[in-house]
Amino acid sequence: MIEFTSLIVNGISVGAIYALVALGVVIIFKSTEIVNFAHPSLLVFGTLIVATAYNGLHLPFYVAAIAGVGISALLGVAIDRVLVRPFYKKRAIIAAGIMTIGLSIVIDTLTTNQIGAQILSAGNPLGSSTISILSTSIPLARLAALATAIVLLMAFYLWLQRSDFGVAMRAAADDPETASLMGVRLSRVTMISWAIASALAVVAGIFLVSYPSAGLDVSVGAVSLQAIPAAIIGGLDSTTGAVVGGLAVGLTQVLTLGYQHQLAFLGLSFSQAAPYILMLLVLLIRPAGLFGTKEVSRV
Amino acid sequence: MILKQTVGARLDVTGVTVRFSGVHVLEDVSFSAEPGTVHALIGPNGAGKSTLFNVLSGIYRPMVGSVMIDDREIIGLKPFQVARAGLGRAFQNGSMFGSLTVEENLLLGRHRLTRAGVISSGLGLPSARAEQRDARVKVRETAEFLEIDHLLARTSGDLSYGDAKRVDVARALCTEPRLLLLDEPGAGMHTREKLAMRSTISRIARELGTTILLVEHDMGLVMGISDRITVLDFGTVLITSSPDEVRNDARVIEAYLGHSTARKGIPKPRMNGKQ
Amino acid sequence: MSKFRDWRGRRWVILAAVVLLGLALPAILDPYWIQLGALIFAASIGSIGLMLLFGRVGQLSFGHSFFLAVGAYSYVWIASPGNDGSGWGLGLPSLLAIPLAMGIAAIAGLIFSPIASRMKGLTLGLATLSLVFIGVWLLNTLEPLTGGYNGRNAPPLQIGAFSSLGSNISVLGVPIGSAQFLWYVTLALLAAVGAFTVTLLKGRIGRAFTAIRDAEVHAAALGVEVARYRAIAFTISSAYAGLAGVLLAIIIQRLTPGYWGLSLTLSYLAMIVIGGLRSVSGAIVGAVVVMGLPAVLQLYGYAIPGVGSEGGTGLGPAVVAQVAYGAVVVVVLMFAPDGLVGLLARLVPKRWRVSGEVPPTSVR
Ligand SMILES: Nc1ncnc2c1ncn2[C@@H]1O[C@H](COP(=O)(O)OP(=O)(O)O)[C@@H](O)[C@H]1O
Ligand SMILES: [Mg+2]
Repeated sequence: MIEFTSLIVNGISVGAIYALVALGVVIIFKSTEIVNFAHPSLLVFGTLIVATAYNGLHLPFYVAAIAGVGISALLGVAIDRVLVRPFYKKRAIIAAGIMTIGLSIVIDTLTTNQIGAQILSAGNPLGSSTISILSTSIPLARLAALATAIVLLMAFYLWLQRSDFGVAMRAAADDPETASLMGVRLSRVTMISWAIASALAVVAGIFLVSYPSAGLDVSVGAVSLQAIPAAIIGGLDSTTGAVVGGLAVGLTQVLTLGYQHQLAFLGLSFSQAAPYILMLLVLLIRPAGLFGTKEVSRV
Repeated sequence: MILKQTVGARLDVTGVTVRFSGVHVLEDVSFSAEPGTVHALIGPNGAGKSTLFNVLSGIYRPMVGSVMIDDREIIGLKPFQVARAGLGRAFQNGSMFGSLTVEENLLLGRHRLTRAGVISSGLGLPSARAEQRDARVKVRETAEFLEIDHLLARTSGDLSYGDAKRVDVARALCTEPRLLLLDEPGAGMHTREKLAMRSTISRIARELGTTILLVEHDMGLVMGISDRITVLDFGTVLITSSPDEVRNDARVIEAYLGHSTARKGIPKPRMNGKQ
Repeated sequence: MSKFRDWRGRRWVILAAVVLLGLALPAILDPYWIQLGALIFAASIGSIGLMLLFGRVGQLSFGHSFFLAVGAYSYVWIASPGNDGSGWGLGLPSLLAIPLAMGIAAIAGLIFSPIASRMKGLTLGLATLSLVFIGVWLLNTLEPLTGGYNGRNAPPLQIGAFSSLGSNISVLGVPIGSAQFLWYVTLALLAAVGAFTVTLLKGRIGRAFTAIRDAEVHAAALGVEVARYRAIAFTISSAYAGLAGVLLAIIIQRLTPGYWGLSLTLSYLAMIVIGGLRSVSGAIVGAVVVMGLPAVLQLYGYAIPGVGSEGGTGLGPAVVAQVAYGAVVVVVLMFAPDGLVGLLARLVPKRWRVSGEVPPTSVR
């Protein structure tokens, strides 16, 4: 029972990190209808910047973190301006998605090559301290991740509700022509979306590699890729979905890993496949994801 | 050389009601089209004509109502099943498979009348080749019947609007339909093209025996060739009658003259043929 | 009319030249290149399958590596003796194992096709993404079949006195060693698959595919059973992937689970994007680029500044090749959405084009 509780708490805190990454995928999808397969790569890239600034340049953690977040946001903007823009005009959504796959191959190869066999710390301001909740000990860093995720998700949600940005974002994706006639500055909307999404990915990345995980190594790319099933499970155009999907993936992963001995008949690597099996099941029942909306085609 | 004649189908629409997000687009629509006749469906923009066509061809499913082609209920059938039941359709907006030639578009019209499967088609077996040859001949005959044979080799995506509409009609005709739905076949055409389309439509009905359900805004065209006319307004049937009676019906005049100025401002729903 | 004959004639000349080249090259080339050729031919069969599915029917699939693996391991299972301690095996002749393994991959595709036909475009792509991870998990788990994490050897292909491990026989003065044998087998199968696909796409079924891709609703209104044809395309594509997987297994000999993961699927996607999404020739050109690039860099990379050699200074040829092909995908999609073949087609006069290859248009 104790084990179960601790797994649940752990799953939620990991899930919150996935939710942040998935939220980035959703933000970009909502404003452009493009699935950004390079999102996990951006996470690794930004986290590598933080780690390099922290270890290599010996900058204080917060400076390194801000540098990583900022540089990634700029990279996101650059991708939007330079690489994705030609596709918006043609409304070539799927082609743009595949383009981001090419981009992810480039970024992944370079970051993997850079990381090599190292395990890089991206700074651990909270160290390895734990606190005890419900008689399970939980790393403080995980709690901080959860708290940060909740704050960021709430802030984003409120911002969408209160500002015109949410409306503009939806309009930009639904009907770019009409939206621009209505005075929505499309390029600004997509640019801000890419910047926010990339920044969120790096925040998530920093938490993902901090205690109890050892640091940034080449496996982080595969781990962060789980944001894709998270976003899809929740529904690509739903911010609520990103949270639910992130938690679902986090819990699935932590539980299947935690009970791998009971699940031994499924093999030791089952926990890696589990989120994708969940995704397949969800898509079978709801092709648009749990909270996604399905559009009716007109003739 | 004459195309295969068909026995025109009888169409019975009864109590069809369609609602989109709470708005009634069609309300208790009922009418019948007699075999081998040209039956027009008219009404202001947004009256629900295209929606009714979508119901007839199995794309939308109405909340209630029945659509019988002869004695067969087609509500609940999938679009391809409806096509197999003998319903052909030309769309309101260009519906060409743009990367294919006109001939290939028409050959697709013969799809349901041909058999070749993956193996025989991929291996190029004699049966598949013979079938393809026959289909080509039929396609050419249909193209000649509609006087578009000079377009056969063209890439359909490059056609002018008027030509695309004629190819669309030809493609529907290639399915050898017993009931043919034509959605604004004369739209965007100039007078001479319209006259040609008008004679084409009546020839299809008279010479081939196909029942035609026609949506068209050009009243000259409609009045000239229709045997019966159903007037739709705000999703309900105002009247189903002969052209003469429709022309003189007070409600129809009211619907067209009364609101038409007010309705001008309402844009037509943007249709996207690629969906 | 004379123009027509002229064009026909030229087509035959080209075809004859290609056949001759295919037969003669192994006599001239170094085994390194012959083996690479075999790898490219095998991969081409797989990329043709993905081209047919995505380029012609508009159904995106990330599951290709799964079906490649199904083919490869089915071959291993059917052709292994089963009593040598290496794991399950039926001990059937390896030549017979090829069509059987291809059939199993087709059946796997057929099993998945109710899903494949319900979903379209991107949604299907996302759903099939799960197949990759399920596949890798199964390969790690089903030890008696796959050898688990450490992998398993693929039995050699034996046709009469010839073997994929090499033989001492010479034909017309060409010694048929391992590489030559693999070259001829894969080339013959690629030719068969290519011809079948071109004919199929030119005919009734191919037209239905294109109609579904261009305007699904309009296709249905003509009586095309959209779901059925999507399932057919998915099954054909899986069968081709299966055959490619078998051949890859025979060539690379040792199979480990890691090979059949996401990056394999992405490399096939890269092939069809780079070569051209809508034609058999595009799929082949893409395979040449994606498979050939690392091999060429491996040999000549040292001459390019910054590349260096493996383990030495510079990024190393493998990394550069990987970055290059990712970058090529990006650039091609941005500037030549109809791929290298499309780019070429715009330069080649119309009458030179092989019929049945629809003039490429861009991805939507
Ligand atoms: N898929 C749909 N969703 C919502 N509303 C629709 C849909 N299709 C049609 N409508 C609405 O139904 C009404 C009738 O449209 P339509 O049948 O196209 O009219 P018509 O062809 O007579 O001009 C219009 O108000 C249109 O906006
Ligand atoms: Mg209409």
